[in-house]
Amino acid sequence: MRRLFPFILATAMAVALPRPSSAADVQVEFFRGVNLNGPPVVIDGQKWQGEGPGANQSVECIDARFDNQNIPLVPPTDPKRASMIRSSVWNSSGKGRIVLKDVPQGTYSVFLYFWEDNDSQKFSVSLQGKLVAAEVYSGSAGEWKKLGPWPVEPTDGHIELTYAGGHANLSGIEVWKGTVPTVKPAPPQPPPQTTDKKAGYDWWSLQPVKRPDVPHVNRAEWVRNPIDAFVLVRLEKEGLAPSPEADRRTLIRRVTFDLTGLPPTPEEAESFVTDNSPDAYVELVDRLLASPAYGERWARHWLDVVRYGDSQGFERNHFRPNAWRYRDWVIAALNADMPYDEFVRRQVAGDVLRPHDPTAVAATGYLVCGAYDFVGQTEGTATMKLVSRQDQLEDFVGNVGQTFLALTLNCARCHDHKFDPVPQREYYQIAAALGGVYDDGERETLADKNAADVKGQREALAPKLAELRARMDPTDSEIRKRLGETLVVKAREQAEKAKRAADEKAKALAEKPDDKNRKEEADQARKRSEERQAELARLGEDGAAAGAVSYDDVLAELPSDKRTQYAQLVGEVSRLETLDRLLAGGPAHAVSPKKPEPTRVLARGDVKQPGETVAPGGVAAVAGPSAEFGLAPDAPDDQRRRRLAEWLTDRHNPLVARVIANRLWHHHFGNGIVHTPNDFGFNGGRPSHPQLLDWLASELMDKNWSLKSLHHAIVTSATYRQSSAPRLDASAKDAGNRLLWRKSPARLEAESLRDAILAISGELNPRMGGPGFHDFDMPEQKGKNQEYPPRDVSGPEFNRRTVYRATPRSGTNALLDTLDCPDPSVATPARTVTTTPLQALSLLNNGFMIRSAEQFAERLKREARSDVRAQVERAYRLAYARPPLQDEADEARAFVEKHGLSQLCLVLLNANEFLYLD
Amino acid sequence: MCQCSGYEPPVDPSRRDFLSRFGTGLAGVALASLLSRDGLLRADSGVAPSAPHFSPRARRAIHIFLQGGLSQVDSFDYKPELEKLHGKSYAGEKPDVFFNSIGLLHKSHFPFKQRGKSGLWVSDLFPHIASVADELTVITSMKAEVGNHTPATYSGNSGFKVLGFPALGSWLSYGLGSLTDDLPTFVVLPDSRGLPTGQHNNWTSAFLPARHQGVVLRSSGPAVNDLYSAKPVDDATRLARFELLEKMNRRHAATRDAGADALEARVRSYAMAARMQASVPEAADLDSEPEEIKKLYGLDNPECRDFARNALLGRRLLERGVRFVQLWSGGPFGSEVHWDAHGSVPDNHTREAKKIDPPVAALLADLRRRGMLDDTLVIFSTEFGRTPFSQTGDGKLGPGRDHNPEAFSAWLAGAGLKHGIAFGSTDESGHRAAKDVVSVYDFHATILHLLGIDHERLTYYHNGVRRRLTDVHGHVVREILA
Repeated sequence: MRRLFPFILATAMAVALPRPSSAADVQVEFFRGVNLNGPPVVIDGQKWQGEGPGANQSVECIDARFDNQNIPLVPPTDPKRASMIRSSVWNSSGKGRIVLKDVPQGTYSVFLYFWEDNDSQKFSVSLQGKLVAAEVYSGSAGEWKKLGPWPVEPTDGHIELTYAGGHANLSGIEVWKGTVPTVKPAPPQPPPQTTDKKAGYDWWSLQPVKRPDVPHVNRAEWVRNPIDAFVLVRLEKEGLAPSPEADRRTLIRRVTFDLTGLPPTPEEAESFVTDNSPDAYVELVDRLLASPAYGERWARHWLDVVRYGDSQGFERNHFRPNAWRYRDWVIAALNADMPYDEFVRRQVAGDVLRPHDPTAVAATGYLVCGAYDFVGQTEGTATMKLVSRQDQLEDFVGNVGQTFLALTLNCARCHDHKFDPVPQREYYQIAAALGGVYDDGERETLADKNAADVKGQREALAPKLAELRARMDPTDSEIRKRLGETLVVKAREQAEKAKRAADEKAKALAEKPDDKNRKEEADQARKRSEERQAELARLGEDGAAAGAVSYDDVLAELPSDKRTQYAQLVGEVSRLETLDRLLAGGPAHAVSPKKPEPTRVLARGDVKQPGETVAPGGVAAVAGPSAEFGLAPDAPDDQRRRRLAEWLTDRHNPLVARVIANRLWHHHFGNGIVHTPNDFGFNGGRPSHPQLLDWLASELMDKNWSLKSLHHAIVTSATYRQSSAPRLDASAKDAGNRLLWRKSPARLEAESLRDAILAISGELNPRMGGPGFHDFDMPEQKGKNQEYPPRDVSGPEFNRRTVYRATPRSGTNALLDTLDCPDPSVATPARTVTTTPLQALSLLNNGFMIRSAEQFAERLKREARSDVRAQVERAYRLAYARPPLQDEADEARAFVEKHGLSQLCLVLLNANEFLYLD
Repeated sequence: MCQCSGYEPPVDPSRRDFLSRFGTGLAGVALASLLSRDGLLRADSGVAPSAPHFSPRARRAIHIFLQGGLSQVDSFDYKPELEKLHGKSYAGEKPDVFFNSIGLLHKSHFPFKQRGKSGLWVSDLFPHIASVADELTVITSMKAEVGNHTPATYSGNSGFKVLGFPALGSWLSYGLGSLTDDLPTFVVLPDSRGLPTGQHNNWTSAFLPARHQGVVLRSSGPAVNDLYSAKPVDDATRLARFELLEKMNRRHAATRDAGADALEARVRSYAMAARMQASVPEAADLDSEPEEIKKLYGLDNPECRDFARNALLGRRLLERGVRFVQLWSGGPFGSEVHWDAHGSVPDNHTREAKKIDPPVAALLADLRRRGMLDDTLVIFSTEFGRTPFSQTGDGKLGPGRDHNPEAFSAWLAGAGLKHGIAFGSTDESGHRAAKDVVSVYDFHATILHLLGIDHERLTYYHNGVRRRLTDVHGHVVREILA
C-alpha cells in the first residue's frame, strides 16, 4: 500500500530551507536517502541506506572519502543527522560523480547535504548533466547545508549527480518521489519603523540628504549667507533676535584660535582692528585657512576622534616610533584641503587604492592607531587569542562606524542593536570588510621608488626646499658647523657604548645559548650597535654632521633677535620637508593586511558559538548605496576595504557628509547641531537645526567635499560673528544657546592653551612634522613592558606645538591632563570641560608654566625695554589682544614693582580672560 | 534646561554630561548646579549629589588590589578535597590555561585553620589578616572574565577588559561627589616598586570628566603633581598673586554673564587649590601619628614598611574625606614584584604576603577602633586566581601555579556586610567557581550597592551608549549583606 507522507522539514534544516507555507498539501513520498561514506541511518523517521566500500550496490560513487566526527557542526543538529553529515565523500580530482541506480520512472526531487571541515571552497552541482547549483560556497569549518529540491527524471533508471570545483564534502542525498515545491524565499520583511523605543529604517539620519530651500526670514538684512537664514528662522519662531556682531578684537581672537589654535599677534590684532575695509574679516579668514597652523589645529580634533596614540597600550604598551607618519598625513591632507571623501577613502583603503603612493599607505595608520593587546593576541591560549582578536575587531568596527557614520555599530556584536536598525549580522558584515586589517607593527610605505607621480611631486618640491634652505644658510651655518662636531663626538660615544652593551649581551647569551630572552636581547643590542656604527659613519661624511644638526638645536643657539625670523623659515621649510618625508616613504605604523579569516556570526559574541559565515557588506538601513558589496565571503582584503571605502563615500550615503559637517559645527560653536557627534542613532541627540545640517552636508558635497569651503561659510556667517554677551531675554528661553542667539564662550583646549603660552612667551618653535617630542622618559624596559614616566622638559625641541607631542597610552602630563586632554585610549568626539583645584595648581606651579612666565617676562623686557608701563601694555596685547585699561595698568605696575614681571606674566596666563574666548 | 519649544532637547537626559561638556555657556543654569558637581560647594551649600540612590551603608571605600593573581587555594578557599587529590592528575576537561602546561594537582602550600569566633578558614599565608577574620566577608566563588593580566586588571577596576573605561573610583567620584573641598576625591597609592600593568589606565576617568581621575599620591617628593611651585615662591608673592588673579577674574566676569558658572568656578578653584596646598601635606604627614599606631601598621618593620605607609596614609585620607582610596600590592611585570606565582607559590606568595599582611590587618583593626568601619567599605581583590594544579609538564608536581580566571577569592569588610562568613564555593579541587558564582560585574554591583548606588542607574552617555560600571550585567550579592 502506498503511503503518503506530508512533507516535513526537520527543524534543523530551517536555516537551509524555509518551511513551505502549505506543507501539508504537498503529497510526496520518501524514496531514498543515501548516507555517503556511512552506515544505514534513520533520519527524520526515514530509513536511509549506507554507502561505502562493500555497501549497497544501488549507488555508484567514485571518490575520496572523509569522516571526522569531532568537528562541531554549525548549526548544531540531532546526533544521527550529524553523524551522517560528518561522514562524506569529496572530489579529489576536482570533479566527482554519484549515480543512484534502480530508480523507477517518474518525477523525483533531490536534496543534497554537504559540509565543510576546514577552509571554504566553491563548487557547482549538476543533475543529469544539467547545472542545478553554481558557485556554492561551502562555509567555514563545521558549517553544513541542505541544497535542493531539484526536480529530476531518471534516465535508464539512473540519477546522476556530478559536481566540480573546490573540494566539497558531500554527506548525503535525499530523494523524494513527486515534486517538492521549491520554496520561494519569504517576501522581505518591511524594514522596521521607528518606535518610541527604537530607531527604524525611517530614522532621520539614515534618510537621503536633500538640499533644503533657504528659508525666508523677516530680518533679511542680518543674513550674510544661507546659514544665517536657517538659524534666524528658528530664532524668529521663538521670538528671539540674534546678538549684534562682536567687536573686532573679540572676533580676531576668536577666529584665530578657532582656525589655528593660536592667538593673534598684537600686530595682527591691531592691523585688523584698524582696517576699515568691509572685506577685512573675510581676508583674515582666508589668511588663517591658508596657514599651516590650520592643519595642526584641526588634525588634533580628528586625532581625538580616531583615538590616535603613539603606543600599544595594554600590558606591553610598546612605543610606536613611526606612528607619527599618520599624524603628519592628517595635517598635510587638511592643509591641502583634500576632498573629505578622498580623506576617508585613503584612511580606510589608501594602500589598496594607491599602492604606489607612500602618503596613501601612511593614511591607513588610521586603521591601527588604537590600542593593541599584544599579549592577548600572541601569547596565552587559543581561545584567548580568538577573543582578543574579536575585541580588536569590535574596536575597528566601532571606530569606523562612529568616526565616519556616527553609528554605534559596535553595539551589535553580541545581539541586534538595541536602539538602531543594525542587525547583528551587519556588524559582522562590517567586521568582515575589515577582516584583513591587522596591526603588525610597522610597514614600509614606499612600494616603488620610481613611481612616476611620487617622483614628480618630490622633484617639484626640491627647488622650493633648496631656496628656503639657502635663505637659512647665512644664519645657521656657523652654528651648524660647531654643533656638528659635537654631534660626531656624541655619536662616537654612543656607538662605543652600544658596542659594549652588545658585547655584554652576546656574552650572556653564550653562557645560556638556549635562553630565548637572552637571544632576543642580544639580537636587539647587536642591531642597535650596528645602527649606531652606521650613524657614526654617516656623520663622518662631508658636510653630513652639519646637516644633521636639527633646526631645534640651531634655534636654541641663536640670539633672541635672530630667532623669530629664523623660526619663521623653520616653519616654512619644515612644512615642505614634512611633505617630502611622506613622499620619500619609510616605515610607518600602518595597516598590515593579511588573508582574512572567515567571519562568522558569533552568538552572544562568543567565539565558542560561531554561526553562519557572512560576506563583507554594509548596513542596509543607510539610504543610498547598497549594503551588498557583491563579494564572496572569502574575498581578499583589498577588495573588502575597497568596497567599504566606496560604500562609505558614495555620494548618496547620507551619513558621511552629515557627520563631518556636524563635527565642524561642533568645534566652531562648542556644540554640534547634533550634540553627540559620534552617535546619530536613537540614543544620540536630535538635530537642533535639521535643515541647516542638510544644507551644510549638501554644500560640502557640492563644493567637491572641500572642508575649507565649509569652514569659510561657517566662520564668515553672521551667526558665528555674534557677540557672546549674555542677554536675559534670550537666556530665559534658551539658556543652553541651542538656538544660537549668541556665540557661546569657550575655554581653550589643553593643546591650544599650551601652544598659546609658547607663542605669547615668544618660544613657539613652528617646526612641523616628524617624530614627536617626548615629555616622558622611556626607561629601559623591565622585561618586555614599556613605561612612560613624565618628565619636565625644556628647549626648542619641546616648544613645538602640542600636536607634535608623542602620546603614549597611559602616559601623563599633569598640566594637559587637568585641562581635559584625554588619554588616547578613548575616542573623544567632544571634550569635557572641567574646573578643579588640581587644574589651578598645575597652572600656577607646573614647571612649564613657571618657565613660560619667565620667558614671557624676558620677551617683554626685550620688546618694551625697562619701562614697566610699556611692559604691561605689551603683556596685555600679547595675552589678550588688547591694551590694558588704566586701572588694570596701574594695578599690574604696582604688582610688578613688588613681585617682579614674571609673576605678573604667570597671573596673566592664569586669568579667565586668557583661558576663555568670547 | 530650556523652556523654548519646537525642537527636541538632547535625548540624553544626563544633565551632568550636558553640563560638563557645555558648562561654559550656561547663563541660565544656577551656579550651584555646576559647583555641586565639582564638589566645590558641597560643604557650605548643602546641595545634594545625584547619588546615592538609596541610603548608603558605606560612605567611603578603600580598595586593596593584589596585582598578579592571588592563589585562592593557598589563601581563603579551603579545599580539603585537594589534600586528598594531591599528586593526582586533574580529572576534568582539559583546562585552557595560559602556559598550557598542566601538572599534577597540588594541595595548599600553606596550612588552613579556622579562625576567630566565626571559624572562617584562612591559611597561614596571612596570619595577621587571619587574626581579624571575624571582620571579613569572603567570596570564594569569584570568576574573572579573562586569564590575561592586563585585560583582567582593567576588568577588575573598570568592568571592561579593554582600556578606555572609567575606574570604580572614578564612577564613585562621579556618582557621589566629594566629601571634602581640600583633597582629591579618588586617590591612588601605587606599590612603591612601580605602577601595575596597564599603568595609569587603571585609574583613568576615561570619558567621565577629568575631575574624576584617580590622583596618584606619592610617598616621596611632592605628594601630588604640581602641588608646589616648580620654583620656590615666597608667601607674600603667592598671596599677592591670588589677590590679583581674583581681582582680574572678577572684573572679567562682571562684563560677562551675571552668573557665569564656569568663570565663578574657576575663581573658587584657586581658593581650593590654596587650601589643598596645606591639606595634602598635612594628610601625608605620617610622623604626626602616635608611635603605637605606626608600630601597629608595621612602619618599623622593613619587610612591610612601604605598604604600611600607604595603608596608614589611606586611613588618614579616608578620615579627611577622600571618597575612594586604592592601594596597590604589586608592580609591573617583567621583574617579579607582584603575585604572579608561576615559578613558586611558596616563594612568591610568602614574599608578597609579608609586605601586606600586617598593614592590612592593622588597617581593619584601626578602622574598627575608630568606629570608621561602620561606614567604610574595605575591598580586597585580585585580577584572577591560580590553578589548583602545578604549572609543570604533564604528570609532574611543582611549586608554581598558572593563571586561573575560573575561580578566585576576594573579600570585603566593613559597613553593611555579614561578617565572618565565606560565600559561594568552588568545585572540589578549587579550580572553578561552582556554587553562587560571583562575576566581577556582580562584585562591582555589590560595592556600588553598599555605597548607596544602584549600578543600573549610575550611567554616563558616551558614543551611543549609556555606559555603566557593570556594562549590561551584574547582580547585587544580597546574601552577604547584613
